[in-house]
Amino acid sequence: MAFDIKFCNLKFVSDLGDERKCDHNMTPSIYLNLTKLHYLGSIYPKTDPNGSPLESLDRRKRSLKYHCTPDRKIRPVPSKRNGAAMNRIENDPAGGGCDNAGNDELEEFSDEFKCCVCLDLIYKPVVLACGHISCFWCVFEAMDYWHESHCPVCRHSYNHFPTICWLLHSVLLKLYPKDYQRRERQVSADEKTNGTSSPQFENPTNPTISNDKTTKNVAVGDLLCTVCKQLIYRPVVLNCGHVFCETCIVDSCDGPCRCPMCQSMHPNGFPKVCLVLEGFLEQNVPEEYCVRKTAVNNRKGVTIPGSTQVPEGGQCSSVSIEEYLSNPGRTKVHFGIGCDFCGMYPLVGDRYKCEDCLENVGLDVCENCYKNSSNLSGRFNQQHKPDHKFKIVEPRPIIFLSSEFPEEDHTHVSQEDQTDDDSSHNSHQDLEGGEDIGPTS
Amino acid sequence: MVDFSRVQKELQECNRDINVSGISVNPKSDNLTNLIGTIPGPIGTPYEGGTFKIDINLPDGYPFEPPKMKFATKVWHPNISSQSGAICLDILKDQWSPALTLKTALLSIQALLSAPEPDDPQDAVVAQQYLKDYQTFASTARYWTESFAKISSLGVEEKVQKLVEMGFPEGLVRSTLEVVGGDENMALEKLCSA
Ligand SMILES: [Zn+2]
Ligand SMILES: [Zn+2]
Ligand SMILES: [Zn+2]
Ligand SMILES: [Zn+2]
Ligand SMILES: [Zn+2]
Ligand SMILES: [Zn+2]
Repeated sequence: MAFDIKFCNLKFVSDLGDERKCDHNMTPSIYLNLTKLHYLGSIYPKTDPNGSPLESLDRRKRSLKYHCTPDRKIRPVPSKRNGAAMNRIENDPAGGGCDNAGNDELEEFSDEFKCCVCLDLIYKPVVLACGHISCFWCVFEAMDYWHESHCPVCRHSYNHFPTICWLLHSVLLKLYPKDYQRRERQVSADEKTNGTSSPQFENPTNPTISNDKTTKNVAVGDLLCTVCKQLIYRPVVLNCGHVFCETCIVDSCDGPCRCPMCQSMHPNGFPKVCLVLEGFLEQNVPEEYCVRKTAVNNRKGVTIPGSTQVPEGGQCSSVSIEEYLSNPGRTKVHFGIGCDFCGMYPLVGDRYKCEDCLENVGLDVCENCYKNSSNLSGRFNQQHKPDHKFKIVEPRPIIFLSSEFPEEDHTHVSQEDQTDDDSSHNSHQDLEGGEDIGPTS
Repeated sequence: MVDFSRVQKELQECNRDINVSGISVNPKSDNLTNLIGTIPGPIGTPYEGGTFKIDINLPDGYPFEPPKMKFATKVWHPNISSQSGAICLDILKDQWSPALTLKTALLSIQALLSAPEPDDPQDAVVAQQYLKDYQTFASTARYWTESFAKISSLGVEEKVQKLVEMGFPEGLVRSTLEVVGGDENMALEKLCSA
């Protein structure tokens, strides 16, 4: 997956709140290229002339984060930002909101299944490692271009865009068929408008739930853990979207956490229990869930659920972006590019791009996935085939601009002129402080 | 483009429990990118009894970028500019998350009124006063609340008459009052700056 970052699509917000677009002529204050990371003096905080390189680097990183906001329009536009939504407002000025006009029989869905980003029923649920759930497009759109991303709810950081949890998808479709189908129509209409695509529920190995219309309950047989073959207890959702008992994952993984079903890696330790899914299980099959709880606790000799010590789990993502920024030149970072297989975003290390996938979004995989996975498939429904050829692509150079770059400082600086040391501290402008101290009256 | 269907849902939800929270959000124009939020001054503070209006501007990337908020009502507070109304609050900057809403942001601003953070000031003059001479700070803040944040008890016709007497054309006075939701101070400010 590749999303275009154009140099002059950057815009900045000053602390007075006014926005400024790149005018093509501003001096790049930071220049990132293939192997070197150059910072110009102007972005160093002036309050920190003698700070350690790492400390000031950290501050510069933060300045970057807050000041360089790439124009969101260059991303695929997510489901909700569409003509349909606009029309709805125009036709319904009183604020009906949901497009339930003429359809009074929509189910009232439980607040737990309301996406915290679009405030609608979660569609194509993605479960983050912290256990929080959002829609596929909502998670994607909330991810950070330049840095690790953070869960909208708890700010837990992550570097991998997880796969849709198809079990939860089937559960939602079963619980709220009308609302879920309304969401499906809405999202696919938006995808059509935007020329984007999200994964389809078609893989035969995906969990299916019996389509018995007479009951709202999901049968226990549809909610089994593939490791222990029993009702899932304390569900954890891996990066690949597969669901297991917490104990089954912890017990089966020595070192890096790997999915027992599809063998793909789960990055950054063990995931947390998905409480919304657990709440559903407890409500849907209360007796069976209680039996499982007793059985697991007896076996472990632990009586208080949740008090069990879950080990951290091994790390498997090669290099984090933050790590990269502290050690510039060591590794490649492909901003705006993600690995279609493990979801790493931005992609760190060697980038393998499919030469035969024709979709706009392209198909890219990281080195690890290229070498270790035979069955690569795209995150955006690309029609990738096993006989497609890959080539290694180098990162695109990226220029960051400082929002508070002084007018008189418009001198061009080539990449050789600046090294990464602290040679030009005296002319530093205070980016960090400018935000916090603010104007005096 | 702003996610308007979400904004619609936010407005509905916020205005549903307005009796409990006292917080409201209303569109200023019909395109939903400019809104006006209202928060009551917290009880037990120099802002008690005041109704504070917040100018809300939604950037293209909303809710993935924070809404722009500033006080439209003049207020004397260490973290709010007494000149521009600019607010120094982390969730409106780098600590924003798309799971926050206009209502939760306004609640945070209300909390900021109760608990100023003079060590991280927006308005250095106010912050100095807060730290060195709290009594003067409190009375100034109270005076500003009385002068700028009290909803006038005047009826619409009386407001119109008052402004017309000041020399503004009646038609313009009526339309301006409508735009600012009947707030005569804001109407006057708008009329003067037009
Ligand atoms: Zn959503
Ligand atoms: Zn979370
Ligand atoms: Zn299990
Ligand atoms: Zn798996
Ligand atoms: Zn990968
Ligand atoms: Zn391909």
